[in-house]
Amino acid sequence: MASAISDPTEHNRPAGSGDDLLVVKGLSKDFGALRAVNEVSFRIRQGQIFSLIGPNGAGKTTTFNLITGTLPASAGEVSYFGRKILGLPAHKVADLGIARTYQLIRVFKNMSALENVQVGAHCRTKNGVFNAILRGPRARREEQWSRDRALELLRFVGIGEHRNKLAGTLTFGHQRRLEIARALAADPKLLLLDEPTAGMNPSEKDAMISLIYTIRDQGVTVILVEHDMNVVMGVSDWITVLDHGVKIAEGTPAEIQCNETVIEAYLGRWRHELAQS
Amino acid sequence: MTTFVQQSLNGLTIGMIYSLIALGYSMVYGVLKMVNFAHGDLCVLGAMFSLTLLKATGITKGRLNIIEVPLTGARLLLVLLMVFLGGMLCSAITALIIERFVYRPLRKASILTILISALGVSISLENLMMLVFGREMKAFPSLLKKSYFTILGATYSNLQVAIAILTVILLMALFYLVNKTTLGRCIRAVAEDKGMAGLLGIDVNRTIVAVFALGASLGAVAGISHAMYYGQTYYLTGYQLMILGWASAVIGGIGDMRGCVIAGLLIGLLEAVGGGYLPILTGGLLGADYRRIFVFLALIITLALKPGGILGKPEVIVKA
Amino acid sequence: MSSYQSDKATSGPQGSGSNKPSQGWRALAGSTRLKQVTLVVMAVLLLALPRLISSGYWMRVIDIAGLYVMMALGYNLMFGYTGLFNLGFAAYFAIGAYTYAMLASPLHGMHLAFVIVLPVAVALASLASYLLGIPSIRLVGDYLGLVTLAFAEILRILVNNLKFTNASYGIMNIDPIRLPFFALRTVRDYYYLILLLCVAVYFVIKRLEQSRIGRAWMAIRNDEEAATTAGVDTRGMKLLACAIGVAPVGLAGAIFASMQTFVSPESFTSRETWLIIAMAIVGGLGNADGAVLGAILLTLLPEPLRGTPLESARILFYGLLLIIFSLFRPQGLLPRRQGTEKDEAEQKI
Repeated sequence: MASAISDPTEHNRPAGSGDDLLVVKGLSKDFGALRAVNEVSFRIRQGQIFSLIGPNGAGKTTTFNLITGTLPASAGEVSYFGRKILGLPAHKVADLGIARTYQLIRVFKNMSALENVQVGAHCRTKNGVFNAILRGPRARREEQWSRDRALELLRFVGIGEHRNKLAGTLTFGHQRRLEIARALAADPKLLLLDEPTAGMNPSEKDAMISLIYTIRDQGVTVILVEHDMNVVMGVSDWITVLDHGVKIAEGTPAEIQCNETVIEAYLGRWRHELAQS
Repeated sequence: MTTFVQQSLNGLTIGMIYSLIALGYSMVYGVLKMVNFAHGDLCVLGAMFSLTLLKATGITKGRLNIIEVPLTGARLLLVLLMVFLGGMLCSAITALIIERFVYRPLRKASILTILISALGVSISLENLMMLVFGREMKAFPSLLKKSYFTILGATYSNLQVAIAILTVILLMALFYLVNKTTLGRCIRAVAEDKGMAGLLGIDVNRTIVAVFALGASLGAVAGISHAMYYGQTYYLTGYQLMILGWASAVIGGIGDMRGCVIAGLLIGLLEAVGGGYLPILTGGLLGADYRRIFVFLALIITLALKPGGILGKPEVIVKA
Repeated sequence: MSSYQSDKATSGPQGSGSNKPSQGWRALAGSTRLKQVTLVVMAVLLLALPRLISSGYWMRVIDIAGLYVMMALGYNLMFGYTGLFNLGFAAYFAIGAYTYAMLASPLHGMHLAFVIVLPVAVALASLASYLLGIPSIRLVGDYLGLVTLAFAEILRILVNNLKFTNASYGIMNIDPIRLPFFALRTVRDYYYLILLLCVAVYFVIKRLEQSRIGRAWMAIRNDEEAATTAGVDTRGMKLLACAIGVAPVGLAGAIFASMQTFVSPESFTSRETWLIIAMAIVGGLGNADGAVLGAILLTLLPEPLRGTPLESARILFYGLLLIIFSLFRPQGLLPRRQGTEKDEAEQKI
C-alpha cells in the first residue's frame, strides 16, 4: 500500500514521540466535477506541531472537514492510532480524540462561555435524562466536574473572567480562544486549528503562538492551517503544502522556505497576473 | 377501465390547479427562501373577492349565489375577465402589503422568526377573511353553462376543459416570462444569489415585489378555478391548498418549475385515482376520504428518501 | 484528564463577569430572598385558587390554561431549546386524548385505571414523534415543519374516518380519573391534578434545561455542525427532544379527555398547534418561564372578548400577536437567560 506521493524527505523528520498519530493516504474529495482534494497523503507523529499551508482554495479546510468526518470522502484512507476513521460520524471522531476549531468562528452564540466549553466535554460525560431529572449524587458530581473543568479551560486560554458572558458578545479574539477551550474540553489527542491567528495583530499572534506551544506541551498534537508565514515557520515541526488540492511539497520550515515549487505556487499566480497586464 | 380514465381525467384537472398553486408558492420561495404560509389563503382570497364582485354587480343573487343574468358570448367573456382579473388584483395587492410590511423588514432576521411571522400572516389572513366574508361555506357558481363530452367512455365537462386550457396558457406564459424576458432574468438572478444580484445593479426589491404579485395572481387563478370546480369556497380551504401546493413544490423539487408542474399533476392523479379505487381495493373498509393520506404519505416518503424532490437538489434541504 | 496550568496572568479582578446594565435593579430582582417570598406567595395563591374563584366557567378556563402550560413547555423544549420546528403539535394532543378515550370508555368496553392509561397515552405520543423523526429529523427547518404537518393531517383524517375511533361522532362517556377514595368529576377536582402535573412538567423541563442534555440541545439549535464536531450525537439528541417534547402534550390530551368525558376530531385542529406556537413565542422562546407566562396570558387574555362582537376575532388576535412579536420582539416577553445564575453567585465567593 504505497502512498500516491513519495516522501523523499521522510528521513529528515524531527523526532516526535515516534508513533504515527494520524496517517492520511490518498485522500480525495470530489464536488461534482471539481476535485477539491486530490490523493493527499501525509503522516503526523505524536507531539508535533504540523502545518498545512497553501494558497487560497488549496483544499486545506476541506481536508480538515474530511478528517473530522464532517464531509464524506470520495476516496482514500485516514488512520488514527491505527484505526480507520473515514466514514465514521463526526461525533464519533470527536469522541475518539480529534477536535477542531473553525476558520470563521463558530461558537454557540446564545450560550455562555462556560456552557460552550461544557458542551465540548459532552462526549466525556455521561449524565443522561434520568440523571438530569433526578440529580442523584453521581449526577451532581459529574455536573460539578463539568463546571470546574470548563472554568479551568477558560482560565487556561485566558478568558476566565468572561465565563458568564454570552459567547456572541465576546470580542473576536476571545471567541477564538473560547473555541479552543471548547475543543480542548473533549480531551483530544489531536487538535485541528483552522487559521487561529487570522485577523490578529502581532502581539495577539504571539499570545496565540505561546498558547499553541502550551497545548503541545500538555501532550496534544496540533495541526495548523495558517496563512501567516511567520507564524507557520516559527511554530511548525513539519509542513505540508497543498495547491489546487494536490500536495506539492513537504518538509521542515527551512526546507519549505527555499522550495521552488512552493514559492512558485504562492507567487506564481501573482507574477502571471503581472505579466498579463 | 372507464373508472380509471374518469378518475385520471378528474385527477389531471385538479392536478393542474395544484400545479398553479405550487408554482406560485415556489416562485416566492425561490427568491426569498421562505415558506409563505399565507399562499393558500391568497388563493382563497381571490375566489372570495371575485364572489363579492359577482354579488356587487348583481350577476349573482341570494345565499346560494345563483346566476341571475344570462351569460353568453361577449357578456360571459367580460364576466370571466372581471372575475379572474378582480381576484388576481385583490390577491396581488394583499400579497404586496404583506411583503412590504411583514416580510421585508424581516429579511435579515433568523429563519425561525421568519417562519413564525409567515404563520402569523396566514392565521391573520384566514380569520380576516372569515370576519369580512363570513364563516360559512359559500357556493361558487361555475359561470359556464355545463356541457359534457365523452372521451374513452369517461365524462368530461367543458369546465374541466376550460381549466385545462387556462392552466396551459398560464404555464406557457410563465415559462416565457421566466426564461425569455428581462424580468425573468432578474428573477432567476435574485433566486440564485440575492446579494450578488443587488451588487450587479438589479433592483432586488422591485423584483421581489414582482414575484410576489405574480405568485399571488397565479394563486388567485388557482383558487377561483378550484372554487368553480368544486362549486364552493371556504375560508379554511386555504390551509388545505397551502399544504397540497407546498407538498407539490417539495415533491417536484423546490425552485424547479417543471418539477412543480409534474408533481402537481401527480398529486392530483394520486388523489383522484386513489380516492376512486380505495373503496374497491379495501372492500369498503377505507372510504374515499382517505385519499389525502396517500398524498401526505408520498410527501413524507419523498422527503425521507429524496429530499430534493424529483428534480431538485437535496443540499438545500438536508443538514447534518 | 490533564490539568491545564495557565501561563499568563489570567483574568483581572474577579468581578461578576456579566455585562448587565442596571446592576441595582437586577441585584434586587435576582436576590434569593425576594425570590423565596414570591414563590411562597404564589404557592399559597395557587393552592387556594379554587376557594377564591366561585365561577365554574372560570375554573374551567384556568384548567385549560394549565393544560396549555404543559403543552407550551413541551413546545419550548422542541423548538426553543433544540430548534425543531413542529407544525403538527396538535396531533400528539389527539393521540393522548384518544388513547385515554379508547382505553377508558364504553366504546371498546375497556375501563382501565388511569395509572395504566396515562403512561400509555404519554408513551404512545412519544413513540409516534420518535418514529416520525427517524426518517425526517435531518431535514432543515421548514421541511421538518412540513413533515410534521403532513403527519398531523394523516392522523386527523384517520381519526375522523376510522370506526375504531368512532369517526366523526367522537367518543362519549369517558371515565373520569378514579383515585382510591373518590373520582375527579368537577373542574375544581381536576384543578389540583393539573396544578400538580404542571409543576412536575416544569420541574422536569427545568432540570433538563440545566443539564448536559439541555446544553447539547441548545448547542444544536445554535450551530448543529459545530455541535457535532464537538462530540454531540446530534441525531440522537434531536430524536430525544422529539420524544420528550411531546410527552407533556400527550399527557395534557389524556387529562383533557377524562375531564371533558368527550372527545371528537373537532378538538384537535391546526388551531391548537397555532395557539401553542403563539404561546411559546409570546412568552419567550427558550425560556421555560416564558412558556408558562405565554400559556397563561394567551388563555386568559381573549376571555373578556367572549360575548362581544369581537369574539370570533380571537384567532385573528393570535395571528396578529405572532406578526407583531416577530417584527418587534422576537425574543418574547421573557427572553432566554444569560448564563446561569448559580455561577454568578459562586464567583462572588
